[in-house]
Amino acid sequence: MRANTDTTIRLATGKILAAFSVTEDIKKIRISHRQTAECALPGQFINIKTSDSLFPLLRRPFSINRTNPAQGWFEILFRVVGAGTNALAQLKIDSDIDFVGPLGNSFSLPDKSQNSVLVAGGLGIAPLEFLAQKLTEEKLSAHLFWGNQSSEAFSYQKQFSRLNLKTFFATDDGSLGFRGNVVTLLERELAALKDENICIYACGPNPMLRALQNFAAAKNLTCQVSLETMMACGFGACMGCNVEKADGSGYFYVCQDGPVFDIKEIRIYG
Amino acid sequence: MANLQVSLGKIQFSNPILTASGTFGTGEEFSPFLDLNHLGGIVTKAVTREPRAGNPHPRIAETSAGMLNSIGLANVGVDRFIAEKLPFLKGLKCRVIVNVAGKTIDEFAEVIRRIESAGGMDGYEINVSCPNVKEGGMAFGTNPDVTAEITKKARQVTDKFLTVKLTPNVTSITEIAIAAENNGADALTVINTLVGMAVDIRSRKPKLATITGGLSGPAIKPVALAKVFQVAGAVKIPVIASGGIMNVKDVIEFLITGASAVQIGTANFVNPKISEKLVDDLDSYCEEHQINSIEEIIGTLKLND
Ligand SMILES: Cc1cc2nc3c(=O)[nH]c(=O)nc-3n(C[C@H](O)[C@H](O)[C@H](O)COP(=O)(O)OP(=O)(O)OC[C@H]3O[C@@H](n4cnc5c(N)ncnc54)[C@H](O)[C@@H]3O)c2cc1C
Ligand SMILES: Cc1cc2nc3c(=O)[nH]c(=O)nc-3n(C[C@H](O)[C@H](O)[C@H](O)COP(=O)(O)O)c2cc1C
Ligand code: FES
Repeated sequence: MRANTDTTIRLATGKILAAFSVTEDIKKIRISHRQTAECALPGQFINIKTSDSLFPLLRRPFSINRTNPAQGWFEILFRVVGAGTNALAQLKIDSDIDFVGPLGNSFSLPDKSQNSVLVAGGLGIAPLEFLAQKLTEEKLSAHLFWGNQSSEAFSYQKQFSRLNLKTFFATDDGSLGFRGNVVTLLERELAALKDENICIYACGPNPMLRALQNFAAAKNLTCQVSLETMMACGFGACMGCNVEKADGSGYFYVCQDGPVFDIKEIRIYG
Repeated sequence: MANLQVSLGKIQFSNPILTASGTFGTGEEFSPFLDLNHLGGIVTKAVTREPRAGNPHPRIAETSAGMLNSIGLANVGVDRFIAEKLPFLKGLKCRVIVNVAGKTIDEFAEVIRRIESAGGMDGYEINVSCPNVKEGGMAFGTNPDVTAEITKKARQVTDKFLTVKLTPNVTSITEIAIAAENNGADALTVINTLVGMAVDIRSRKPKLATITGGLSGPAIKPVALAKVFQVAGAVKIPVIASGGIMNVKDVIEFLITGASAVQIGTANFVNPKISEKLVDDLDSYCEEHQINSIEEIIGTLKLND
């Protein structure tokens, strides 16, 4: 994991350049802010004030999903789940958006000899797409394993055409790709790949990460995982975003020590 | 420029805007956002004798116009505080008050003594009001005798500014306030968080691992105002207000009600520049209302007779 050595964290105002609906409840917004587009690294996030009202009061964290430094914009991809994401989804093109960022550490890129395997559950695709963008820029290819509850979200896969990715899909209901969870699919495909020199990058719901943690431990694979917790500040002041260290010696703080961790170093619940 | 300076007994602040303990780290976390030296002062995260890992996850939950926290005084302990944080804090021109907590009555004075022998800071805030720890914390601040004892022992190890931070989770806050005043407190900080709870209806679990936590944010402002009013009426020492302050109007309300300074807490998470902005806003407010010195408005609440 690359520590955030950047001293350019800022309270910023961007402008919404475009908004897209991927599905009924999955949205993408494009935000113009040149410095963020230029310096953000895969795995980093921003903390957005979604409305001026006292509810929701706290900012909401979102991974940076894609950047375009040349044009000075970046994107976030999110699911509408509550008041904050609802307010975000209502924002009109050209309106201002108030955020703090870029925050947190970032994924370490693989050695040239390593094969990257990206494992996403649902909206866990958000930071991994940015990683895939960087890998593509570095002329590296990767395998992407993406699991979703149903096939609906897969309309999003057209975004991957500009990326150097070999894709494998899983759905809970079998409506697209492998029927079952994405870690089971990963196990099956990796056996076929017979490649030991891989580096896994993952983001998704905790049950998926738990399964992956067990799998990575059993096969002795390196795995970097991006975690989500509740957050108040996003920059190390509130101590609210703790995650337990695997050795039981205390806590990491997701906004500062993470969000990217070596999967061996943390305890994952749920 | 209006005169924003306020005197709290033996100590002056360049303006009445301080930051609240636990919401501002040691200030360094906020240096990307603002000039700390523009603030009246900063109050550090609680420091205890031993390092504390804090409570299990999840520690925070959002509530209507507020938040719950159960951080549990996570901190590196006084020795690492002195080694790692004190040099930075000593370099600041604004006032620095160290928030001190402990599991035992003697621990508070011990933490202060160690910081004093390392050169000391401008003052100390005795936290007998944390609702998130099993030992010490609020259990001390709900008992006037224990509050008196802790204050007295702290007074014995320092001549510096000493404020005792009170919990609202008591039947009579004035009784505790008077106990602190009589035993050497220079000021009182009113209030710490209120005990609160939130439930996730899908999992039917409490949203915090510790079940209950401390409620802060705009939701508690009316409670804080009432407590400042009561305490300011019961003691002669100055009161520092804390609770739900989000904007300059809130600051003025607390000053009118009797506070000599205010602390900005949860608002720092919402807008990391807010504390510095409030200094500017307060200055503009004074100019607009032809107030030459901010002290003119402290305790000017008009009551019907
Ligand atoms: C580092 C980080 C990166 C994230 N990146 C993305 C992303 O790229 N796309 C995306 O859709 N979501 C992302 N999330 C989750 C996102 O922050 C939450 O979905 C959002 O805060 C929900 O806000 P709300 O007001 O709409 O929902 P609420 O009504 O607040 O909550 C709805 C549900 O979301 C959960 N939730 C609320 N706040 C958070 C939070 N801060 N972190 C995690 N879960 C939360 C609640 O437990 C609840 O189950 C990220 C979270 C973190 C910590
Ligand atoms: C995350 C968090 C951590 C806190 N930690 C401390 C602490 O260590 N010591 C203390 O005296 N008060 C602590 N408090 C209480 C605040 O200093 C403040 O008194 C309280 O939050 C009310 O003010 P507010 O509504 O402006 O936040 C904490 C509050 C929050 C939200
Ligand atoms: S979110 Fe505040 S410390 Fe991590």
